[in-house]
Amino acid sequence: MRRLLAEPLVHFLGIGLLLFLLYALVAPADTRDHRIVVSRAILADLEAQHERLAGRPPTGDELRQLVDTWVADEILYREGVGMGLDRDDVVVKRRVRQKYELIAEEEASAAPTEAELEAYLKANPDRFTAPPLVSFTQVVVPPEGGDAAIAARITAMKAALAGGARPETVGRGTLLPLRSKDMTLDRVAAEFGGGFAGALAGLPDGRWEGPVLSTFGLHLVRIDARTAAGMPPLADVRAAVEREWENERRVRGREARLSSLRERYDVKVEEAR
Amino acid sequence: MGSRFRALTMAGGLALAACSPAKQDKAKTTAPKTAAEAASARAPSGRKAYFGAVHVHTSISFDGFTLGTRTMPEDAYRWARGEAIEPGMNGVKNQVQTPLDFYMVSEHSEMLGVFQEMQRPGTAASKLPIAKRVLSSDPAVAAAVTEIFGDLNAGKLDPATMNVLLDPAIGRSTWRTIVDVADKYYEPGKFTTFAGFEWTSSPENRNMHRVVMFRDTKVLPDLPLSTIESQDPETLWKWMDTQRARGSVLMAMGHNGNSSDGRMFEQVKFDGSPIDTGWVAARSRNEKLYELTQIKGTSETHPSLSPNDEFADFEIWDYTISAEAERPKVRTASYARQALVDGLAVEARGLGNPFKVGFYGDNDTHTAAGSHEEFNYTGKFGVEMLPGVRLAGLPGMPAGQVKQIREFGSGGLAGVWADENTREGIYDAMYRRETFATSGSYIRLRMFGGFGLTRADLDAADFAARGYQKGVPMGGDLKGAPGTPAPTFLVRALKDAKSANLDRIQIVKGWIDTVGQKHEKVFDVAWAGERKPGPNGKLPPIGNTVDLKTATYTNSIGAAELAVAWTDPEFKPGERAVYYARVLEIPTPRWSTYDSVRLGKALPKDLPHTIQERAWSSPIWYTPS
Repeated sequence: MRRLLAEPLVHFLGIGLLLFLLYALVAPADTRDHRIVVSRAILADLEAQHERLAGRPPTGDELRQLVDTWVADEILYREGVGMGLDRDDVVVKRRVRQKYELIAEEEASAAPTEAELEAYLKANPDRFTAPPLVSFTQVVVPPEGGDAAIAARITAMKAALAGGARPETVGRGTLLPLRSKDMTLDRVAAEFGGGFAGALAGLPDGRWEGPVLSTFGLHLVRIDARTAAGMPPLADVRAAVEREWENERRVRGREARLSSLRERYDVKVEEAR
Repeated sequence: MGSRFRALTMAGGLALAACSPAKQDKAKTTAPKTAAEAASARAPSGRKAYFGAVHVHTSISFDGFTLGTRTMPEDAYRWARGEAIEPGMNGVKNQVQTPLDFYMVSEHSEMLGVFQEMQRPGTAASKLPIAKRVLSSDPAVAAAVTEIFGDLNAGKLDPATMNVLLDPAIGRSTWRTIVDVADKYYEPGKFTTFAGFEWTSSPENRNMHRVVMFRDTKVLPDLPLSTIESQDPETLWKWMDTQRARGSVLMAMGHNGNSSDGRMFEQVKFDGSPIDTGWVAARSRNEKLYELTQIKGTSETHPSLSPNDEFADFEIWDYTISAEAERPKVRTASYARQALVDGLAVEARGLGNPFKVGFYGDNDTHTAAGSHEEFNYTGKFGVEMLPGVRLAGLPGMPAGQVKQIREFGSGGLAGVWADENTREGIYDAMYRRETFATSGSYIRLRMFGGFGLTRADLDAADFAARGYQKGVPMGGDLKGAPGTPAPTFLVRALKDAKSANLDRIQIVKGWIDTVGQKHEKVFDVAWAGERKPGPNGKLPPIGNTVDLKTATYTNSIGAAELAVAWTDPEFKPGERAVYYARVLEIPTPRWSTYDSVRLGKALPKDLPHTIQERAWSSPIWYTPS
């Protein structure tokens, strides 16, 4: 008997009994379901879990033990929830919340329909409008000498370029790219500086212009091509729209769900003292 | 020699009223292009500098997860493209000022995705006893994670726990997700992503980590290699050789030799036995690059190894990777400069050069968001999104750990000279070591070396074409012959268009003399302003414009561009040598200064208030006949 009293299981059951009695004292009438079914699915789950932990399926004895534990969990959980023990417990709350969110996120993983993507594209013009692009060629004006020497040099370089000289043979060595293709203005600003990017908008196309000042000095520039900003058809940006649609669902889904659920609740926050 | 470039910035004083009236954008107007122009765009001289990072973690990595990061690989790629994300659970968002061209999420392959699985109710992972520790919000969790990781590698955990932590089913599906997301965000020509991972070998908390990168996602293993089988880098190289035989194209890059306590560049095998030609060949076949700088410090060189280099003391992080602020016992075989010279010595023994690595910089962020912009630094882990945590740690954090966090640098950037911004373009540039590292600024740096190169080639409009034609790009080899003249190096550097001016270009030379003695020397070769080297041969400092009260600086000193054609005045044709360029910015505020000013706190006494950001080219090697 003494050995039996030392068993943790007996303590456990004892506590369970106490809780039960306590509950019986305060509960009006017991209307809860007292049926517990250890379904085949649960059994398979228990077996699979054991196999992952131990690397082999459970023996008959082990499975019986797993079932007993599962049943004990279930009984005491139901009794505890019945008594409201879950309500003030932060750990339980977090767990349930995480579980809810995870399930809700996984539920919302169906692929978008064509109509949904069309609608999403229309609703987010800022995100899918292709920015204006510019392609250009530039050469560096060697900076030596005074203003007059540089001005004369610019005139000579322009004449050479207008006469068909290859840009590789005009100007001075630089790490700046000679030719830049389909660049956004942000990108031009990152490579040449903001002032240079701004100046490109004002240049006529197809001929050597300048000098244009960059962060690094003076340049002669020829605009080779421009693509105006525009909203592409869905077919052209389908992958990007689908990616953005899925991401929005992933990131905003959680907040959206919460706010729609919150609407169903009347939340009152008392004044802090 | 630097003074002529001063004129460049002054030329801006010219009146520029020649702009034509604004013109409406047309749908698409194309100027005629000649066949010659089209062809030269594909020539190596048309290569462009692209910036990115390939050492990036999210909450999938076990330590990112436990230290307050909630992001996933999607967030990483979105951030790199310029979108604001919230990396931690503290409401703080981060957005990069200058978006990146390429990015690779490289999670720790050990326990891949398992810590996240612990969150998922009902899973075997969530039921492990250690799950409680991992999911705890206690600041001591960092130590717990280090301990779990150490026990895992040492095989000290119980078999049930091991089985779940190493569950290949979890690892496989997580890896699949990482690869799928990389594919989803890859836009050839615009934004390049890669599949990769980090192999986290940490014997006794000595950092032997390697980032592994795949050229494409056509042929990939179904699970990355972890260190569970072995922490020996040879195991990694064998595995990589196997993947290569199966059709994958991949390479590995080491990092944080500074935290390896003499192991990253040791000249013995992992078990202490002598290296041989097979070992050297395996290493050099698989490791083409070395990550020179990142949040956990810069491992170019240590002041004790390079006492004559007054710029050696830069973002040194002198710890092992133990969570208890343990100091390494040695600095040898831990830093790249010394390794380059050691590599020459091993080669002279006839074994080949095991340390023939190019340089790149990176982040090692564990928040998905990179941290390289000094003014925009957000720490290594999610909890550090709050500046108070970056400066003073979490409440209850041991003092040693707080110091480690304060001493983090802001991490760097990888620069590559690539044909195009595609997986092939970027990977191939990295494989041929045509790369440079920066400490975070978007400095562009390029070097060519050759025997016939001249000052005229440097100044010529087709400078790069001449560099390739008459010499080799950085990462390349120069071969000598009897009577070989001294090589000339053409170096050009452009400042970050949005950041600080440049101070100087230096050439770092390492060599072994005919009796096998090892040497290193730093040459100042181009500089801004009218300065003259002093009697000690050292160029005086550029000055400092930083206002520590407001954490601002001005570009009233320094140059926007520096360039030089430099011929080695001490060249001896019979001596093996290696050369790389280092370019320094003028002083700017360190992240801890920006943070302190924002918070209205006194500047930390134990940290530098200003730093000189910098870039390092990959080396060029000279081998006598």
